[in-house]
Amino acid sequence: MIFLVWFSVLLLFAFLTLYVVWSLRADERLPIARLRATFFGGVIVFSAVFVGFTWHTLRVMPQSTHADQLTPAVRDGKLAWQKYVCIDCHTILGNGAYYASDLTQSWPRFVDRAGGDEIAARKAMITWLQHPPAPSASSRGMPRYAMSSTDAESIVAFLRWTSKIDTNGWPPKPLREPSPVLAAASSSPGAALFASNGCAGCHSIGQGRVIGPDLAGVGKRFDRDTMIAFISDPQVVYARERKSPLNEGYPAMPSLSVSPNDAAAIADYLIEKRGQS
Amino acid sequence: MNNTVVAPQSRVGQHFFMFAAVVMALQLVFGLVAAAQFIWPTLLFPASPFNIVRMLHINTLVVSLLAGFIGGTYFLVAEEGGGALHSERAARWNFWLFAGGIGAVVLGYLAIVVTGRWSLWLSEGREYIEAPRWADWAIIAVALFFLFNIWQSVSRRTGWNDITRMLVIGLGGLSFFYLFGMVFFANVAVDQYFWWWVIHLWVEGAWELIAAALYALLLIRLFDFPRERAAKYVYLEAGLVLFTGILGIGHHYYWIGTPSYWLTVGGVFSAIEPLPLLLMVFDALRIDRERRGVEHPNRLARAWIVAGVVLHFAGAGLWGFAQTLPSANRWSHGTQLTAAHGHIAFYGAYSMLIIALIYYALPRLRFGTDEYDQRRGWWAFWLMTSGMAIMTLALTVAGIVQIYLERMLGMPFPEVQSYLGLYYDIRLIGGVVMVLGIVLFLADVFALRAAQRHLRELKLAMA
Repeated sequence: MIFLVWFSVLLLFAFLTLYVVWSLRADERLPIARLRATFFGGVIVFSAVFVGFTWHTLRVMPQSTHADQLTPAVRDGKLAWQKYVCIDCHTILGNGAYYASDLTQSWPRFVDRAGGDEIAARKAMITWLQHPPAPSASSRGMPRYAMSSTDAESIVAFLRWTSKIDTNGWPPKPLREPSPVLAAASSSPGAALFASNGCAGCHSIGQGRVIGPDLAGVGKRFDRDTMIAFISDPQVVYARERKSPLNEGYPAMPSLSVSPNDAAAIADYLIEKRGQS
Repeated sequence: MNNTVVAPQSRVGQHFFMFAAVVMALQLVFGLVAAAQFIWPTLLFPASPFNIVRMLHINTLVVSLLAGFIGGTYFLVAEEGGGALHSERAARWNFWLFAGGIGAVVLGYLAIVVTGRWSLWLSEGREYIEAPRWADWAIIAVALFFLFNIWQSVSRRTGWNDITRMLVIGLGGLSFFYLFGMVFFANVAVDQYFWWWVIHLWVEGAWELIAAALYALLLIRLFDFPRERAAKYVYLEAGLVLFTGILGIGHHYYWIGTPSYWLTVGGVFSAIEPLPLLLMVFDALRIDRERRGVEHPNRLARAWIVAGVVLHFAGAGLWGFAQTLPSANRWSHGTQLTAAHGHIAFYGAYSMLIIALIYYALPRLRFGTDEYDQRRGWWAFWLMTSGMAIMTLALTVAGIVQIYLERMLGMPFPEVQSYLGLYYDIRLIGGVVMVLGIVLFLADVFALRAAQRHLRELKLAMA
């Protein structure tokens, strides 16, 4: 392939030299037949080289994309990805609409936030897709898709598979490595529920803004009952306070249908977490 | 004399031009809504989320350019052939099939908005070529019908020469490469590999051939440029564009799961891609100066052409080059910098050419002369072009800030976006200025005003 690369580069410079010489010469003396022949000859030669590159690229792409792990779920996920026109907000492999984040590395991001727990990450991602945040006055949100769980699961499979494509090192590692949002999964039931309900998809605890606000010290700002009510169904609290979202500049939180018991465990975890950080 | 007005018997060009102008105006309106959603995310939510608006924005872009190319081809092929096409009736059918097909696809998109149901039958969800598969086949059928009409007209009336041949090759390439967007690949990397065959080989391939041929025909008309030299110019331009552009596709194959030799190929070839565009600028400015003595009443159409060539170089050449080398693209890929480049390059390379074509053809179709009242048109020219400049600069700065914060410092995307509000505000202002311009342009397209001199003569005659 190295041969073909340098051959094509040499070819390019040969044609360029020819053209520059021709452009500089008085064009009246240049027979058009020669230009015509060079044009068609050049197009054929460069197309042939391109076909050669394509032939080789398609031969190695199954390895660079781990095509052997492309399960029917991944395939369905790609179809769902297309059906919901995700590309016209997000980018994937850097191509798309730049209105929302690039999703090439979305799977590892969710895994990171779930403290390395892939099952929790998967759950969190599905929850996210089925309950996407609505936009607020100053923060973007997702359309109301009412996505089936099958679609959500297959999109997760698709994004997980996509994240393993060998992209020649893109996106580049930031110059300063950001601190992980959740260092490690804690053993408390609240922490596990925090991960499995996908809270970490939007919130960090003490590592700054993600999509929702940083939850460090949230126990100081709200009482336990409000927190439980809010985690169970934020719409109830929004209606009661006549304010949505509660924090200026963030999207409103979606209803995740967390049971009151689970919500209490999460609230306790958040209150206790403040004490540690 | 090359620039004598041929009495246009064929009217179908006008249909396509009006359609192109209306769709271009819609494109700007959708763009304005999308730009506003960057600032007010709840605008039109949940009825019309950003992805639908954006899909309409980029699809109307493609459709307005296609309608412009088709209209320009019909008009100029007819004019070259003495004013008429081989079959005006077939061309009319072509127009109604084209417009009907586009209408059906748009109705499908709107059905998503109205019903809230997402379906692959309504949108294929692949950027720029979102039209669903059934529409793809209809598009191919209409394209073949169009090619057949042009083939007939060129063979039987206009005659084959270097320029008409290049035009038809470009149009054929346009249809041919669309086929690669009609295959489903489960592998998203392979999907993007062939998706670029449509997008890149259109924009930096087939469309450039069409544009070169249309430019040449306009140069002959508006600048009384010698035909022989125009033909040579087409071969030089088209040759350079394709020799660098075919493998220049490599700049899209850096990070999508393709082998790393594409970094070398894409880097070398696309680094030279600005060269033909720069040559075009030199040529256009030289021709403009050299031929200033060649009086042509349609100064406005000449301005759109020359400015188009300059912005083509700025957008595709400079803004493209700024991010085409792998070492730069690694950081800039997938940011607002790409959006800045896309906006100015499409406008300079294609939209301005089509507006030039329309301004060239309109007075001939309307009044049978090259004289008309150009005052409104000049306002449209300056408003649209400065609106685009504002927009491009704002997005460029947004892109650079985004690269620094998101790519270099690793700040999360939503937080980065919260710092870009100022640039999105400025971009929206640019968009408003552009929309003002296109309103004036539309007014000209539907009610071009006759030249003052003609009006006076008319009044005298009536008195």
